[in-house]
Formats: sequence, structure tokens, C-alpha cells
Amino acid sequence: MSGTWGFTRGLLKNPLGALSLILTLLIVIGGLFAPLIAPYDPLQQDILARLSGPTAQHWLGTDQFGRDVLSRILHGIRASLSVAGLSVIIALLIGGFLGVSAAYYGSLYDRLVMRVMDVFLAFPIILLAIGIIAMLGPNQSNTAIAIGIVYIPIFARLVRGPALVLRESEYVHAAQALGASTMRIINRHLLPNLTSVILVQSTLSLSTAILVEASLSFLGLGTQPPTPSLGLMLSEGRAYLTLSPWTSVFSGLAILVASLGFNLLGDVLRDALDPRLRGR
Amino acid sequence: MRQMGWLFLAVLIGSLGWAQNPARGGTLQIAVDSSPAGLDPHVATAFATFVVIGNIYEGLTEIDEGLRVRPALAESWKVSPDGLTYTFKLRSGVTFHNGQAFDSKDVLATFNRVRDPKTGSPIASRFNLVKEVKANGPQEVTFELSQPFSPFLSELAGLSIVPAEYVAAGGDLQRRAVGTGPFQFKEWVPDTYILLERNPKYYRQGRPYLDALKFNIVPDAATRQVGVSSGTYHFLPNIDPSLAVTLKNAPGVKLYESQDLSYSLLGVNVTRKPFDNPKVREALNYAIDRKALVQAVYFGNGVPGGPLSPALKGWASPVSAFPCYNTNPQKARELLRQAGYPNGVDFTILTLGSVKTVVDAAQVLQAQLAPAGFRAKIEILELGKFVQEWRNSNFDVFASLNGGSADPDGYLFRTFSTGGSTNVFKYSDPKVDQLLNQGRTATSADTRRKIYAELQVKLACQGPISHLVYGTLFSAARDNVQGFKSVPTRSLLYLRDTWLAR
Amino acid sequence: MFAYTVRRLLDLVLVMFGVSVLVFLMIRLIPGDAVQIMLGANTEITPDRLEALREKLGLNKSLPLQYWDWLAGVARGDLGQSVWTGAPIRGEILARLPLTLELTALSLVLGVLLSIPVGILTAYWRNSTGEYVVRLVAIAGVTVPSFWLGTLFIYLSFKLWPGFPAIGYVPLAEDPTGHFSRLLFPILSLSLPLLAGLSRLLRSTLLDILNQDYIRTARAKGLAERVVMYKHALRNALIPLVTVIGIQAGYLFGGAIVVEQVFALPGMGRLIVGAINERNYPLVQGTILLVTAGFVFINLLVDLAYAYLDPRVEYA
Repeated sequence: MSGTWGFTRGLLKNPLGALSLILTLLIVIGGLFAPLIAPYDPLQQDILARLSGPTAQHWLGTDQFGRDVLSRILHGIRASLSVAGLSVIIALLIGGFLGVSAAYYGSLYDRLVMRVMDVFLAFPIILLAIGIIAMLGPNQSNTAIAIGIVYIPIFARLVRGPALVLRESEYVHAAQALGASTMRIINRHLLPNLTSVILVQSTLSLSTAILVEASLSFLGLGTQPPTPSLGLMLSEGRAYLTLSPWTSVFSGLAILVASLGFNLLGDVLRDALDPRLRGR
Repeated sequence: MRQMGWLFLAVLIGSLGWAQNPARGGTLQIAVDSSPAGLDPHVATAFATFVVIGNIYEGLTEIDEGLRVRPALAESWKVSPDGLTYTFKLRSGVTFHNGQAFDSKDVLATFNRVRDPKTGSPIASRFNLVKEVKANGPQEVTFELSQPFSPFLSELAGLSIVPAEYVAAGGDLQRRAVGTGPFQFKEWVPDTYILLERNPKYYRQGRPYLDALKFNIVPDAATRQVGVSSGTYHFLPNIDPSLAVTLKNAPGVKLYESQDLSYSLLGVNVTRKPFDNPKVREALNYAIDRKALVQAVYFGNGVPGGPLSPALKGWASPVSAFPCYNTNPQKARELLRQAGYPNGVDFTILTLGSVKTVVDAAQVLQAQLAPAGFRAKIEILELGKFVQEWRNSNFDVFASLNGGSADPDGYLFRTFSTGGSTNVFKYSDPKVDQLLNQGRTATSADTRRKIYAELQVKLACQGPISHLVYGTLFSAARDNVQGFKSVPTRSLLYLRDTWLAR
Repeated sequence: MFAYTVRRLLDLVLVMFGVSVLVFLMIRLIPGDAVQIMLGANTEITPDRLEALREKLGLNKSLPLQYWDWLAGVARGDLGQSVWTGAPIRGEILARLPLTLELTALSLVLGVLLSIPVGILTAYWRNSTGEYVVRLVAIAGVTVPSFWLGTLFIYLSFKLWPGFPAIGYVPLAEDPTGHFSRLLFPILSLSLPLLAGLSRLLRSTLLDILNQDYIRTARAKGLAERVVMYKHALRNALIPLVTVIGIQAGYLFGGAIVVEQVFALPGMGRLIVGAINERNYPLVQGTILLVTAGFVFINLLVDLAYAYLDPRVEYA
């Protein structure tokens, strides 16, 4: 545990590291505890106070039904985080399994799996996600599934390389010689050594997933109203842009901050965890 | 001095008169929100299609801004005393855009095409009572009805006349429209624009004034709004109330208004619990606050309404005739209790996602209904899925926007009669059926009025539809757009009289 | 080099085979009855019509046979017909493609051109506060949603200069000035995030190279800093930039889909979103297939260019 603390302290010394930690903490806490800290119910309407700019009652103003923009943004972050988180978990589990098993079993299986991964990688990200949603229909969980599928090959490739190296390493050979089962070798020896690459990639993927979710919702292919979603709020607010730009401006800013926080964190983590990049 | 004053006034009036003189020429840049799927007037159901083809085609009759029936391709008509025979004298010297002359064979071909099950025309059911159509020479057509049908003349306005030979030769009406209207089809670049140009042989003297109509397809409301504010577009027909509000004080932009025939509604499935119980339907009406809806969704630009649009003056009963329109959540709860639901009810509102007004209304309703014990979950569906569920009656409750009809029977019969063509609610009430049949066959206007007044009260509170709000129909135009008039049916009929001041 | 090219081409064939199978299966994997969903969107459903559409789409045959027919069509350049208009899909795509290509290409060019001076400047500007600011701005630039930038551009231009023709679309042949003034904001919205990413990459490679021996030697020989920078460092630093262009083209295309929606531009993005909304699956299929093929091809070109430019790449 002291190792983790030392590591965190190292991050905090670096101004960008500190900033990234603060931003991600803000986002994660804001999202997790949205129901507790949001000043209003995100669905509560107050027509008389509609489309107002920032006031003492509504720090970030109100939308077309007089709903509190701050509360909706907090719940929107929660929705973004759950879609992004779920998609990364899907990708990590399936992609990680495919990558590690491909590396471990090798030969024909390996080549087959990696070829299929290449096929998925050939699609532009948003296009593949849109295609999957066209099939499944637009809603929040399908968005998470679509983004998750898009990410599977990235994770599969990511873990396969290091897993290959490890498979050939002395201590895995030793473990095999000692009669350890395949699952045990993968669990005990392969996965722990992959933690840092997985951590960095997951963080960066969260950042992209937040953006992709926002884009899809913006196009009407993601989260559906009245559920608060950042991309949807941005899109809905556009109808009132010249009357009251606040909804669009703040929800866009929230997308930026959420995505920026994770991207920055991934960047800083990469520097800190990858010895080759240290000191650059 | 005094004479000078008169002279000055005369000059002023003269110059005003001159300024009001319509100018010929110019292209009207129109921005619309969606692209039509096709242009065939007998297959189309979407507003997006009618906005365009309404300028290309004409019917035998047309409906004006006061919802009166006027002659169009028929110059005049006679109705037999028993109300069963309609004889139309057709306008002579009219040609289609492809040069063919218009006469009685085109009317027959059009009618047969609509009736043909292969065409799959949604308007076919509106002419169920027509027994036979005959041509008496090239300039006269007779329709024989199997029973009297008062709305017949106004229904004919929706029957676009297509050229017989073009259709017989396999002409593709979905992509190349050929009509007799003031503008003719020129070019369609998918998702970009549809260009119509002036019909030089149009039979109304000197019309149209404009050289061309360009329907730019601009899906995004913010873009349309900025576009008309900056002068990129001249005209935004039939806009959402929210867009009208943002344009209200925009410099250089004016708004045309009329009372919309279309209305927002909640429809319920009367074969499913809990809405199979008339008490629950009544309770639902008590729980709705229509005045608040007008404020929240329509920004104050609309009126609560019953089964008939207030635009149908003389037909529509005032909402004071419907007791359940006095919002009263306690009463709603009480009715729910009497119906056996003391703890309230849970249900899903399927919501038409392609119309902003509907999505907005569903969200406001959800908030309104909760305190009365109606716990609604909103499910937004895109058009295709929505229509599918709607057709299959696969819903508890749906929220939508319906187009109205210029005659009471046009809307009420197909919606509420047992087995009616749009009775997806599976509603069936012998008394209602009886009144509906009396209404469509009675020939005296007074008798019809009494029948429809009774029907409205019966349907408003316990019918399968909670009629919500009839909005104000807005169109936005640049200041130099002149001569346009807004029509409650959403038709852009008066683009033929529209001109651009320089 | 020749062997490498052949191998990459074989790879490409394999990948495209996989892509075609996936795209083909798309319509068949839709939960529920795809034909009923498609029909429901536009007309009344009758058993006759269901059967007719099934027939038209070839859904009555066995799967491998369907795939073979479809593939044979694609090979002839026939992507099928749009379900609703009956227009050939190839024509619909070709009508939209030029605008999206123009948008993507101009954004790419602008992003690359601007990233070079920005990359150089920031590479020189290396004190510690500056460094953090540069990195922060660069990462923020990468994560800013382009559709939000577009929205801000529309709002600001409307407030500051209401008459500016910022939206809508005018064909190039009709009015070149109007054409480009309407593309200005979409291009900016797409290229700013790109600029941020590319300049950051260029900066870090430049820093790497400037620390290497041959640059030190060049400096020791007394060459002017300008010469060192442009003749030695920059040339080598541009190579990694080439490799990411392939990936960036895909991102840009994704961005263009959304930005076209914001600015009402009739490109591929509008085509595919429209096709999804009206359940025009063959059109969705055709678009995805064609765009992905283009994307795969660009990546092949980039790989080959990279192999040619950088002698260190092994062709094994």
C-alpha cells in the first residue's frame, strides 16, 4: 500500500499529474455521488425559471424546462462514466481474454484471433459504433456495448505483445515445469505483469469513450431523453443557442473536462509507469 | 397649404400602393427540417413530403386559410339533393408540367390508382363510400356515393391529380413529380435540396410570382435559425414553437401565424390494463395540466383543445364543455381509487422522437402526471419503430402529434369508429359508432353540429385519446417576403402568391 | 521492399474479406425481423410487401449464397439499391463523397501545415512552466469535441458578424467564395483537435532527435541552428507524422460525420445518419463498406510510404 501512496505522491509533485488527479477525482466523485450532491432533481421542471443564465439558485443556469443545468450535468457525467466504464470493462474482459489466450496458445488460434481483431480495427471507430447501433437500436446500454466492441481489438493487441514475451520468459517456463495449471499461470504470472499497460490504456480509453458517447448522443443515436446525458444536453441546448447559450456551453465544457481529465491522467501514468519514457 | 397636404397624402398612398405591387422573379430559399422519402402524393404520409409536393400538385378542390373549400382543378360542382351524386365541371386549358392536357381521364386514372391495393395508398380509406366514378366527356366527372358523405369535397382537396399517360407509361412519381400546380419539379439532390421552378403555363393569371422555390434540407434547428437570421434562407415553413420563440425578436425576420389543425396527444390502448377502464382514462385527463403544457412546450403559443381543432370554427366545442379539463390531481387520485388502483398505476409512454414538440410534451407530462398517481416511463422511438408499434397497437400509452382534418368527420370517423382505419386504440363504443354514422350522413349542417357537439363531450374525457394542445402554427420569413398566408392544414398553397420585395 | 508490398497487399485482401463478411452479416444479425422494421418506417405492412422486400434483398436464399451474390455485386461496383428511392447506392454515395473528402482533406492539410510551426516553436520553448502549459493545451485540444467547437463557432460568428455565410452548402462550381466561406468553420472545428495532436507528436520527436549524436555533431561543426533544424532534425521528425496520418484520417472522418450534422453539409455523415433513421440498411451497409475500404487503403499507402521513408523498418 505504501508503494501506491509513494506513487501517488510522485504524481502529485508533477503539476500535470496533480491536475489530472484533481480533475478525475472531481469527475468521478461528481458522477458517483451525483444523486447526493446535485442541488436539484435533474428532471424537476420550473417553467418560470427556464433558460436562465447562471444565478445564485442555479449556478450554471437552467434549460428549456427550467431544469437545473448543474444537476443535469452531474447526472450526465454519471451516465457518461457508466457508459464509458462499462464499455472499457467489456473490452478489457473480452479483449484481454482473447489477447492473452492468443499469446498463450499461439499457432493457428493466435493467427485466427488476431486476424479477426485486424478486421475490427479496419473500421473507423465512430463508423463501427454507428453500425452496431444501427443494428441494436439506440439506447444507453447499446451505446456501451457498441463502444466496448470497438475497443476489444485494441485491448487484445495491447496485452498480446507483452504476454508473448512473458510466455517465453524463464519464470513462466519454471512455473510450467512445476506443473502449474494454465489458468494459474495466466492469473498469477501473466496478468500482474500486464497491469501497467492495461491501466494506461483503460484510462485513455475512458477518455475516448466519453467523447464517442457524447458524439453518438448528439446524433440522437445514444442516450435518449429525458435521461440527462452530456451529448444530448449539448444537442438540445443548441435549439436555444441565441436565447440562452448556457446549456450548450456548459455541457460541452463538461464533456471537455471529463475527457481531458482521463486523457491527462493516462498520459501522466504512461510517463510514470513506462521507464523508457521517463525523463522526457 | 391644405391642398399641399392632400397632395402629399396622395403621393404617399401612391407610393405605398406601388410598394405593394408584387414583383416578379427571384428564388425563394426555403429551409425545411427533413428530406421527403419520396414524392408520390398518393403514398406519402409525412409533412416533409407535402410541404414540397403541395406546390406541384392540385386537387379538384382546395382548402383556404379559413378552411373553406374552394375550386381548384374543378371549376364548379353540383351536389344532388340526396347527397349521393357529385358532378364536377373541370377547368379547361390546364396542362401538366410535361405538356399533356388535363381532362377527365386524369381524374379517373388518379382515383383508380389511389383505390388500387397495389398502390397501398393511406388515403384510399377516405374514399370508401365512393361507389363509382364516371367521365361525361373530357370536361365533366361524376362521383356516385353509396351513402351521403358530407366531408367529401374537403377530402377531395387531398387527392392530388396525376397525369394518366405518365403513370400508365410507368413514370416514377416517387422521384419525378408531374402535376398541374404553380411550380414544377426541376431537381432533387438528396439531403441537400429540392428545386422547383415556375410553371410558365399555370392557369392562374400572372401566378406564380417567384421564379423558383428551393427547399434546402437543414436538419438542425439552430442552423435553420441562424440561417434565416443571417438572410441565408428566406423562409422556414411550419416551425416548432420553440424555434418561433427564438426568432420572435430577430431583426429582419417576421412570423406568420395561424391556428394549427395538428395537435399533440396521448393515446391509450383500451385493451390493456389499466386504461381499459373509462374511469382511469378520465382520471388521466384530470391529471393533465394543459395550460401549463401550453406554457412549457409551446412557450404560450397554443390553446388547450378537445377532439376538434379550434380552427374548425362552428364545429369545435369550447374546452369549458369538458369537465375533466379542470386540472385536479386529487380528483384524479379519487377516480383511480374507484377504478381499483389506490396506489396509482405504472405505464410506459412511447414517444415519437422525430418531433421536438412531442418529446418536450412527454417530458412535461411525465412530471405533471406523477403527483396524481400516474407513474410514467418515457421511451423515445424513432419514426420507423414508432409507426410500427403504433400500427400493431403495441403500446400502453403513446405521445404523438397528429395532423387534423378540415371536416370533423375526416378525423373523428377514422379514429374512433369500431375498426376505423387509424383506430389503433381498439376503441369500440356502440353509441359513438352510431353518432359517427349519423354525423357523416346527415346533410343539414345544424344536425351535424349537434351530433358532433355530443360526440366531443363523450370522447374528450373517456375516449382513447387525451387531446392536449393545438399550437399556433408559425412560419418564419425574411422581411422582404410578401404575399404569403399561413393555412391551418400546413399547406403552403399561398406560395403561388408570394413574392420577394427588392 | 517488393516482398513487403506483396505481403501487405495479401494482408489487405484478408482484412477486406473479413470486413465484407461483417458488413454483410450486419443486416442479418438485427434482432427481430429486419424486413418488418424496415417496412414499418415508411408504409403499411402487408404480407405481400414483406415478401417482396425479402425477395428484393435476397433474404430468401441460404446465407452463403446470399453472401456470394452480394459480393459478386460489390465486385461489379453494384452496392445494391436504396430501399426507398430505388436509386443505386453507388450513385448516392458518389454524390456525397466529394464533400466529405474535401472536408477531411482540407482539415488534414490545414492541421498538418499548422502543426509544423507549432511543433517547432514548442520544441524550442522548453522551460518547465511553458512545457506544462503546452502539454495541457495540446491534450485539451485533442479531447475537445469538434461538434462543440462547431456550435461555438456558429454562435460567435452570429453574435459578432450576423451576415457571415457560415452555414448551409453551396456547390463549388456555383459560387467558390460562398463555398469556402461555408466550409471555413467546419474545417476549423475538425482541424484544431488534429493540430493539437500532431504538434504534440512532432514536438516530442523533435526533442528526441535534437538530443541525438548526429545533431550534436552538426552543431559542433558550426552549422547555423536554422540549418540544423530544417535540414536535419525536421526531415527526420516528419516521418512519424506520416504514420499517424492514416489513423487521423479515420478520426477525421468520424468527426466529419458529426460536424456535417452541425453545419447542415450534405456529405457522407448526413447520408449514413439519414439511412439509419429511415432504416435503409442496404445503404448503411454500402456506406460502411466503402468508407472502411478507403480507410484500409489509406493505411496501406501510409505503411508503404513509411517503409520507403524510413530505412530502419524491417520488411520481415
